[in-house]
Parts: sequence; C-alpha cells; structure tokens
Amino acid sequence: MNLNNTLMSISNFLPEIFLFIMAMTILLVGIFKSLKRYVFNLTVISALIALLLSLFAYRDDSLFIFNASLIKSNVTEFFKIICYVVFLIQILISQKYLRDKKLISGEFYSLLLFALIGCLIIISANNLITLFLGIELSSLSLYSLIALNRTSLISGEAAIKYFVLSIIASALILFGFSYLYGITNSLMINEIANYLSDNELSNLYLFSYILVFIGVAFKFAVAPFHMWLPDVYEGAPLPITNFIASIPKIAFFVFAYRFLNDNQILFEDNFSKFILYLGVFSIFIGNMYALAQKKIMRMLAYSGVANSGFIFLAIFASVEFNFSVAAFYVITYTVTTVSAISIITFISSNKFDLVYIKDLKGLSSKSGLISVLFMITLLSTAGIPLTIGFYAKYLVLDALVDQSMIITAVIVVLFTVVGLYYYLRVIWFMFFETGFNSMIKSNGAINLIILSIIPFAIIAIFIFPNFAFNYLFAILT
Amino acid sequence: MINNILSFLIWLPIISGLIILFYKRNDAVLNFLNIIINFIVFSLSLILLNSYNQSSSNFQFVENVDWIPTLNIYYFLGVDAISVLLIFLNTIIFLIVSLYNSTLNLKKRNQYYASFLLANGLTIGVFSALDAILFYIFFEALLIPMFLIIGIWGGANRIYASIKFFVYTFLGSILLLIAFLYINSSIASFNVLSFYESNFSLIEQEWLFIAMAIAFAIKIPMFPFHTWLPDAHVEAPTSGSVVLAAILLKVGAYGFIRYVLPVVPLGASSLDMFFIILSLIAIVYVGIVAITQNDMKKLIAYSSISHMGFVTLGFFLIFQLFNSTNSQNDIIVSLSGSMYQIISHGFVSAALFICVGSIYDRYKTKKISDLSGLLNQMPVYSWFFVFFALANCGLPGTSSFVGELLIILASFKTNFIFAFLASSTLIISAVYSLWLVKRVIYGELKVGLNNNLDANFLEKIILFSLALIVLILGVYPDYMMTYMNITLQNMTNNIILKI
Repeated sequence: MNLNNTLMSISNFLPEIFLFIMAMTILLVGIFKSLKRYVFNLTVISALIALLLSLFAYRDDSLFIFNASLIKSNVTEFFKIICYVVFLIQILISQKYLRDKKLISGEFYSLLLFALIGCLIIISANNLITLFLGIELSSLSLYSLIALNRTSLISGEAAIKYFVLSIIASALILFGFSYLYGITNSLMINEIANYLSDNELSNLYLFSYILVFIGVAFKFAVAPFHMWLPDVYEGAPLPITNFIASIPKIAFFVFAYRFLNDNQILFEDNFSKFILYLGVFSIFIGNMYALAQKKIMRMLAYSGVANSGFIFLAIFASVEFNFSVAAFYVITYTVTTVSAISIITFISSNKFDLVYIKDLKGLSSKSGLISVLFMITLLSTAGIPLTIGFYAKYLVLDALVDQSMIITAVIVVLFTVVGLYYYLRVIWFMFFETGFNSMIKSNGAINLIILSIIPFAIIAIFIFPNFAFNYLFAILT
Repeated sequence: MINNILSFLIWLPIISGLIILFYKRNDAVLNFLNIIINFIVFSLSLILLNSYNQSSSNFQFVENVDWIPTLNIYYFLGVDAISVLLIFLNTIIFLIVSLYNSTLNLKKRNQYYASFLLANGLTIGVFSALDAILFYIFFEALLIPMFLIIGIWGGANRIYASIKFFVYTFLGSILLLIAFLYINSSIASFNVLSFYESNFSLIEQEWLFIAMAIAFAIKIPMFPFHTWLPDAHVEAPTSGSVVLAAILLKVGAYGFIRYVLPVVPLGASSLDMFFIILSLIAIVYVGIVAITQNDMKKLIAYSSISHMGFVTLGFFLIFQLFNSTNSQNDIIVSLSGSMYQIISHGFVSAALFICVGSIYDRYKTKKISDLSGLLNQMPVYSWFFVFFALANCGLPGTSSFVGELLIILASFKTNFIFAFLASSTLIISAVYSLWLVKRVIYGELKVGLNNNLDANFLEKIILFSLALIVLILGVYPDYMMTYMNITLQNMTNNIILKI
C-alpha cells in the first residue's frame, strides 16, 4: 500500500479519525478540574464538525479504503449522517439531566464518543476483523456507560445483564465469522455475500449465517433474544438508553444489509423463514408484554421489541425492494424512539425520575407543547396516518402482501392493533387525566426547539415524502 | 379557484384549526373566528352543490397531483353526487355545531374548536378522496380529533369510551388497508376508477368483501360490531355526539357505497344474505333495546344503530332485487332510499342530540327517570323536541319517512319477511320516540327541575333551521332524488355489469 493510497484512505475516513482524536482529548480534558466544564461543549463541537466533514465529503460512488477493510459509499455516508444528527440531538437534550444527576465527566462523553465511533466502524466495515472490532468497541464503551451511575443498583444489574448477553451475541457472531472465513476463504464481506453467486449453498454456510443473524437478533433485541432490553432501558441512565435504542440499531441494520445485499441466501427458504418467524414472534411478544407494563421505559423497551420484529419482517421482504423498506423502517423507528426518550429525559430532573406511565398524569395542562410532541411521537410509533410511522408500517405490509403473505400481514396487523392500546394509554394519561405531578419540570426554550425538530420532521415528511422515498430507493437499489 | 374547491374545502378548516390552536386569549373572538371559518366552509360547499353538473356521471372537480408516485399514491380528489351531498351535510352540521359550541361553557376552548375544525376538513377529505390510500389516510386520521374530543371533554367514563372507540375502529380500518394493498398488488393502482374496472375472482372478491365490510360495518355500525357506539355517545360531549351520529356513521355508509358495492359486487352478492339478516337484526333487535334505555343519549344512540340498519339493508337488498325483479330501477330505488336515510338521519339525530344536550346543560342529567314535565318549563324547546322525536319515528312529511318508505318498498319486491321485519320499525321507533317524549316532556313537573330557561336565541335558530331542513327534505324529496339519479344509475350499471 503506497503513501498516496494511505492518504486517500485517511482523507476519506477523516470524520471518524477526527472523532477518535477528540474522544482522547475529551478524556484528557476531563481530568483537569478547571477544564472539566468544557467537555460538553467540546463533544458537541466535535460531533458537529464530524457531521459537517462527512456532509462535505459525501459522494455518490463507493470506494474501498484502508486495503478494502472499510467501505465508503452513499449508503454508509447516509446512515452515518443520520447517526451524527441523532447523536447531536441526544447529547444536547441530555445535558441538563446529566448535570442534575452529576454524571457529567470527561470519561462519560469520551466513552459515548467511542461507542459512536464503534457504530460508525460497524457501518463502514468491509472486513470481518474490522467489523468485530467495531462491535466490541461500541459494546465495551456501552457496558461501562450503563454502569456509570455507580450508586444505582438497577444500573449495575442492567450493566451485568447487558454485558453477559452481549458477550454471548458477540461470541455467536464471531463463531459464525470463523465458519464463513473457512468456507469462503475470505475476510471481505462483499466477497462473502457474493459467495453464492459462484458456489452452491452449503449447509455450513447457512448455519454460519444463522449464527451471525442470531447475534444480530440479540443486538436488535428481537424475541426470543430480547431479555436484556427491558432491564437496560430501565436501569441505564436515560441518555445512554437513548443511545442504545438508536445508533447501534442503525449500525446493525447496515451490518445486516452488507451481509444480505445481493445475496442469494435471501431466496433460501430455511434462512428467510428463520428471519420471518423471528419477526412475527417478536411482534407478538413485544406487543403482548408491553400491554402489561406500568413503567414507561419498560413499555418503550417492549415496543422496541415489537418494532425490531417489524424490521426483521422488512428484511425478510427485502428480496423485492432491496432493503429500502427496511431502511425506511429502521430510520423511522430510531428517530421516533430518540424523540420519545429525549422527551422523557427532558421532563425528568434531579428530584424527579419519570418512571411510571401514570406520572405523566395531566401533563397537557402543565405543558401543552411537550404533550403534543409526545403524542405525535407515539402516534408515529403506532403507525397512525399523519406521521411517517404510517409509511413505515405501510411499506412492510405492502411488501408482505406483494409476496402473497396475506395471512402473515393480517396477523401482524392484529398485533399492531393490540399495540395501539398502550400508546393510547400514555396519551390518555397526558391529556385525559387531570391533576398533574408538580415534580415534572420543563424548561429551556432551546431544548424545546431541539425536541420539536423530530416531531416536526415526522409530520413534514408525511406530507412531502417523495424526496425521502426517492433518495432511499435510489441509494439502496 | 372553482377547480380547486375540494382542496380549499379540505385544507381551509384544517389549517385554520391548527392556527386557532395557538390563540387562547379571548373566548368571544374564538367563537367568532370558529363560526366564520365554518360559515366560509359551508358557503364553499354550497358553491360546490350548485356548480356540480347533475347530468354528468363522471367525477367532477377532479384534482390529480403526484404525491408519492413511487408507491402509486396520488393526491386524487373528485366528487360525484353522493359525495357532494355528504360534503354538504358535513359542512352544515359543522356550522350548526360551531354555533352550538359558542353557547357552551368550555375548558380549553381553542383546542376544542381546533379538534372540530380538523374533523371537518378530514371528513371532507374522506368524502372526496378518489385514491384509496388517500381515503384511508383521511379515514384513519379522522379518529384522532374524535378520540381527543371524547377523551378530553367527555363524561365520567370518557377514557374507556374513547379508547374503545379508537381501538375498535382502528381494528377495522387496518383490515381495510390490507384489502387495498391486495387490490393494488394485482391491478397496480389505488385509483378508485381502476378499482371499478378491476375483475377479481369470486373467492378473492369474497375475502376482499369481508375485510372491507368489517371495516365499514364497525364504522356504521352494524349489529354485532355496534358496541362502541353507545359508550362513545354517552361519554362524548354534546357536540361530539352530534358529529359522531351525523357525520362519522355516514363515513362507514359512504365506504360501503364507494368501495364495497361497486368494487367487489360478486363477493357482496354471494354474502349479502348474511348482511341483510344483520341489518334486520339491527332494525328490530336494537330498536327493542332502545326502548329499554334509561339514558336519553343511549336511547338515541341505539336508535341511530337501528336507523343505520336501514341504510345497510338498502345497500344489500340490491343483489336480491337484481335476482328477483331484474330491474335497474328497483335497485336505484333501494340505493337512493339508503342515501336519503343517510342524509335525513344526519339532520334528525343531530337535532335530537342537541335537544338532549340542552337538557343536560340545564339539569345536569341525562336520565329519563330524573326528568318529567318539561313542557311547562320550556315550551319552545319542548315543541322542537316533540317534532324531532316524531321525525325520528318516520312521520310522513319528515325526511326519515322518505328513506324508510323507499327501502321498505324495495324489500317488498324481494321477500315478504324482509319487508315485514323492516316495516316493524315504524312501530318500534314510534314506541321509543314517543315514550321518550311522554316521560320527559309531558307529565307532572318533578321537584327540583324549576328552571325557567327556555331555548335561547341561538338554540332556537339551530333547532329551527334543522326542523326546516327536515321538513323540506320530507315534503320535497325530488330535488335530492334527481340530484343523485345519474350517479346512482351509473353506479348500478357498473354493479350489474360485474354480477
């Protein structure tokens, strides 16, 4: 590899390298008492600069960098930009919460940045080793972040659970990788995914793919691999939950996309049925369990399980639509979840943690705007028209019906109706019950504006969806 | 502007509703704004009614804009006579509701008005959308303002009622979505006109029919799917009940006539017996249930279900008529009877709910057993109450008579039993309406009801205009009949060709 090549690679990976340097710097800055208060500003600025850098370097073709261990294409850039935006919204919203909880520190933001970098590496990895490093970088940072709230017992419990189950998932993925390497004699994901175009499908290839996708199912928290999710949602500090619920999902979606795009295995009944059944089962489990939840984060967790099921269904149905359906679903789901958790972060404060759904009682008379924003978010998650959540569900159903899977579509839809109930319950507590919890704080005009971005986009994209659809269909087809 | 009148009708109330959401300073200004907006919408619909060309069977005022071409979804609006009449009904009811609302003492007045304005625009959208998905979006979005109206401003048990209303209707409509998706996957279009030209096999049509019919049967509501309606009506605020009875139930009926009968006539005709029987059960059984109610709103809710049974009976009789008499004219009689019943019930039930609401405002009770002898207290008001109760039981000269008569006439041509059961409504509805009047209006004045508040000026105007409409429709049905004639002829041609 000559110097020119290396320079080209570095210049194309500049945002991540910059973030890496900044993560180190922030860790260092956090040590000094006098400089400690700048860590937040530094994080925001570095994420912003990374976003601008990758916007600036956006290009439509795809190219391999660092000896084809990483890939840069419009798909990876698009998802990275979404990650940056989501990340920025999260840290901007969570600043006050973290200060109240006395969690602001150099290592917090530095670990958060490392987790982000790990996810960005997963998105652009084209080499099994690099990919695994990305997975571990993000997971390791997240283990410690979940446990960061040292005084809280459930926080520790959540960290242990996440650690153990996540390790198992990583082990399964690694196990699958080793077989894949053995079969295809290559570490390059594009070669592994194209393996079937020249070779017969062997049982071992199928087996290793199933291992890898069980790992992915763990990360997506698809039932029956969802056990860690409710505890993590409940135990982790809210900003960390916000991160776990969104950016790794995007990253692992791109992971799945890399392994399945143009891969004949999607036409293989054994594999596609595996994805399908996981999806349907997850929708069933998620919606049923969410009905019984009294705590809002656990409810959101189970709703996340149901939504991950939809993502798997979309992946199943992507033979025809080339992943644009699944991509749309993933983005819609992550963005709405970020909005929901950000709103919960916003109304929690040092004295008051929003734990139970009934704590939201009468929120609309306290702060009408927040409750309207929350309502839009929830309706979008439920897939009611006037929000983009409708298109997300619509596309999945459309893809299922196009493949003559009407029965599956009807079953899925019936569970969606069940699911509607628990979203409506939150709305009823906010709007229909009277007497509000005086502990709920809502302040900061700038934060309100940031919070309104996503709900506004949810409705705006519903009305003018053409641009989004055309773009997604173009880059993913 | 006249070419885009449908867009104006839809978006004017929606956008002004969103703007009103941010104004909460002065109640009088809010009232004024609300009435003015509704009046403008009403005038627009009057222009629409006048400039619609009755002699053409095509959809008119068509707007077709690319919305999401990647998914085959278009912003495609257009109206035929059925839609025009329903839009007119819609705007007039919302105008009346806005007048009525300004007499009320409300919390969160701006949000209340905004919800109604949203509902107004969305309903017009439902009636004028010619793209199935656009229709579905309006249909579904309409749930949100109604859900909030019942849930925020409703009675004691409002949460149960609103959730039941939302979940129940959502269940139906999502099956409708799957039916639309299925149709699209075989004909590659969501356009209603291409739906009409589609040709599905019998078994496909049966399944499509079941999916769509459940959606609309819940909305109308037909007999076994009706349980959400009494709850929703009892808990909803008066104006919510008015909109629910006068407009929302008609959305279900409209769905049948627009998406079920002409699109899957084979499926409908093979399962029509089942639906005829359900309609007859609604007419007879639910009518009897209405007699036993002690809550005035519940009584009117059950009577609504019973009357909507006539509408569905008229819809599903057409296949029997086609088999027995083979005359297109009979089919048109049956369909126009249903349409007449839809419009007439819109006005009569609205008026009855306003009457009950006024009693509730004055005496804080809806229980029939708590009331008696209101005649001496409120003579003008009682006059209107008696008038609308009579209209409700189909007195000749009022609008309900026309619709019921036409449907009974049509049912005589198919089967005597149907006709017998259908005409039993004349007795049953007389029993519950007149007995209601007897207990509430006549008799000795109960202690504690001394309240010399007769109908105020605005209420008089509202009730008088509704009574006038009911009378005009009752004595001069020809206007509406000729108005609809060409459209119904075209529609029946279409149906007959396919069965």
